[in-house]
Amino acid sequence: MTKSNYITIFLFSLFFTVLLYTAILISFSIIENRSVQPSLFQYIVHELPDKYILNTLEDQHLARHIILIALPVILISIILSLVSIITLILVIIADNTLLIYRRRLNSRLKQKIDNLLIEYLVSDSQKVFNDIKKFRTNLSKKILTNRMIQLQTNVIGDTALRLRNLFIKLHLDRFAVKRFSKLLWYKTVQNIRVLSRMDITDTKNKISGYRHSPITHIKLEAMLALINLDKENTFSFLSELTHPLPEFHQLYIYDIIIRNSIKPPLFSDYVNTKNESVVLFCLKMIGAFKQDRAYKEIIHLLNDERYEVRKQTIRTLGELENKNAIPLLKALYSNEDKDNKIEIIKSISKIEFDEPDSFFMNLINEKDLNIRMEALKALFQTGNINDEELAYIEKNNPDVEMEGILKHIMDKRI
Amino acid sequence: MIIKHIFDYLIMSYTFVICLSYLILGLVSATILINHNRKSQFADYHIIHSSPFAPTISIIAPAYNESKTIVDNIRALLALHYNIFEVIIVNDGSTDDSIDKVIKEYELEKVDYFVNPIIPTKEIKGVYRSQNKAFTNLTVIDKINGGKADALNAGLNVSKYDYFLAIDVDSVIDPIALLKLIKPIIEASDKKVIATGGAVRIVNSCNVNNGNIVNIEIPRNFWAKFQILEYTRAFLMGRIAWSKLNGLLLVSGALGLFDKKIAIECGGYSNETVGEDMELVVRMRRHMYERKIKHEVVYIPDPLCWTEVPETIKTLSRQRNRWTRGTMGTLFMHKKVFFNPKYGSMGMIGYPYWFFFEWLAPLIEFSGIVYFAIMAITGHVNWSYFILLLAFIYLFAVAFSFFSILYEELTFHKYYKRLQILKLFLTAIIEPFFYHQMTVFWAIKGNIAYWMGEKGWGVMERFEFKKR
Repeated sequence: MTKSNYITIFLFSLFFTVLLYTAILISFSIIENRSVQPSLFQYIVHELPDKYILNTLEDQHLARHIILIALPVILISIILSLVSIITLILVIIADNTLLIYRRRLNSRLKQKIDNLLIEYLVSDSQKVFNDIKKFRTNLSKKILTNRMIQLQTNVIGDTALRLRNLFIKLHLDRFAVKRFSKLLWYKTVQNIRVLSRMDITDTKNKISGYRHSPITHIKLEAMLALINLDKENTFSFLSELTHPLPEFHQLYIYDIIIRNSIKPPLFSDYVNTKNESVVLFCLKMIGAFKQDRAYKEIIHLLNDERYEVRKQTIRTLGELENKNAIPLLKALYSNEDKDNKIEIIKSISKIEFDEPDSFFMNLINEKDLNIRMEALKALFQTGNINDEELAYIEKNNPDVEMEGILKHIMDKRI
Repeated sequence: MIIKHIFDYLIMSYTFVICLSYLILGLVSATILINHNRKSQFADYHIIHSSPFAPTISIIAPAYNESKTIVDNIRALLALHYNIFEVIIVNDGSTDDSIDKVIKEYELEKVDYFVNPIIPTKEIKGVYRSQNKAFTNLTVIDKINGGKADALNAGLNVSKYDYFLAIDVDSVIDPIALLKLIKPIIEASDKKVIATGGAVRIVNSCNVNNGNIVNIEIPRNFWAKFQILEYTRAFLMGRIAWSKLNGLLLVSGALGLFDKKIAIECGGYSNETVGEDMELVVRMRRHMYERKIKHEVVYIPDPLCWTEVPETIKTLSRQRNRWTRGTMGTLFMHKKVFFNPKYGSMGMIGYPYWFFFEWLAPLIEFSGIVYFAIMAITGHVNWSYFILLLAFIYLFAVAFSFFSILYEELTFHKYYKRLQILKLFLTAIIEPFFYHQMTVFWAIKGNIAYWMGEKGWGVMERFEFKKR
């Protein structure tokens, strides 16, 4: 939002605050029979009603009471509403004109900058560099930064490196650091992200200072930026986090690892922290990066008292496809609720079997239709069922549900 | 005479309290919009879009006689930006050729789909899937007509993902709506976000191509113009404030993302009311409060859904009648919540506000008009004072509408042409003269219909989108 927008919102707030304050003040002053500003208020409270309203009333006593309280509020509201209507018309039209002008300007600048950036990346010419350098105003530098970030997400290798070097040569890194703001937290967040995206490692000490910011947004952003910028202590923050790590930031960390080809740490180092969100994140990452070495470190989490931790451990064990987990998962089955039972079935079905197993066969008679379905799916997926067994299931479970489930599973179009 | 004065006091107090509540909501909305715009500057939706760990979403779209727009709208739904999602269209016993058109266009085949009836619904005649690889995430359910709630429940039974997005199939959804709706859910750290909703805008007279809006216009239709202002006020100045106060009772039926597990634990949508969207939100929130789980229903001010609004008095009247019955149905079904501290801000602020200022407001206004008429006939009206009061209410209403136009102008700027803004100004100036009175009248009719036991939805007219 632009400054003029803030001013308008501020005026709006001021208008209503004044309205409320005046109404309350006048009402109280009338009730207590005290005059606030004798000349103006006497006129509003006494002369106006007497002249135009009260002398026409039949029951002057009661009516005066209502009118004396309400009238000043009504009159002031009318005046303020009128003033605000006129002001709003002017502000909205002015803002609209300004916005259209800015849009056109931005669009022109964007077009120019995009062309120059692409030309520079293709030709590496000094002349093009000099042309880009001519963008000196704050607005053009902001647009330039945004376009470079945009471009950076779509290029890799040598081109990405040249783009980064151009960013530094144009001193946009210094521009970003300058824009760190003590008052406006979002500007700091925005610029930390810019520096991280452009891989400006020199700024890691500056950004490191924000790891202890009282503003959570800044704190998390600094931690995430350091994954990319500080190659030595990349993930140490995971053991320091005291507040929950939101799922969005978990996705963000994964994105940074993939995008910047960062070597993932052994996430099992952090699974014993008390922070549940960190444990869940590490379990997901262990599965995603197939960190088989973590198996021994996470297996005890199957008995963790936290429900979500147990659920994610079951899933991760399925991802790791470690056969040793099968008996443990089976042993856990009877103690878990329906959702975790289904997770156990899904996980076991991902792990390759050495020999046919009766575990799934025993589950196809479960009351819950979802469990039955998952068990049958698992039987088919693992190739643990032959025609004889299928005929046996159909014969021994003549109910409509079983027939439906079998048809569903065997329909390849689903 | 004493009764008359008590009535005077009550009406006056009610007027001031309702105006004051609007002012407070307006102020709260302003702060949220500022914060939202700040956050939007660095919102990286591509992280959610590309992540295999992002929550999965089932889009459920009930359809009843939507033949004119259904094919284009399904195409737009399939093109939404998200990693893992499915589209479930529920043909709720349409009497037109909707299902035939969809089967033909998307190369569908009836499959042996086993539907686990977790929530009981009317009979499902068939489930269809496409053999064209471009449409693998499309499922079409053909069922006996049972109403919107029943169709949504059928969709819930078939859905396979963690969250579900309930939409009206005739609406146009912003391509990045799913990314924006899921973000508050995955950003939450200390509270569970059980549902999110986005701003609904009006599509009448806009140019739509392949289910996407290519040009936004102010509706040419007289009645639709007023609804633009209504929607802007309701969404930009009302619901986002209620979201902040954690008192939100409603996520629009046209676009709402819900936690599937909690919705199913609550029994899904209720067939007992025509306000099934509001009722589900209240029931889910009660469920969370009763289990003492900190939760939120979050509202996003971004215009994510463009819907068609009624263009004739007849249809508009039916819609408002239904909205009133829906509100009443939900409020009465959950009367236990009323000023009950057990239900936190929903019980202490949200529910009472809906009770006094959404349901009772038209009734009180109507009784005020009747009272005024009696006083005028019997010569008990002080005309000078009446004119002053009228000026106050009129100017306040116009100023409030102008502020909503300002909010729109400063934030999303969808109506950017000067002529469009002038049209909005003009609409705001003439709205209080008769449109408002019409809405009061329709609400009264809704009240009567509710007490008479009317349960139907009424017929909605559909038109083909204007294509460019």
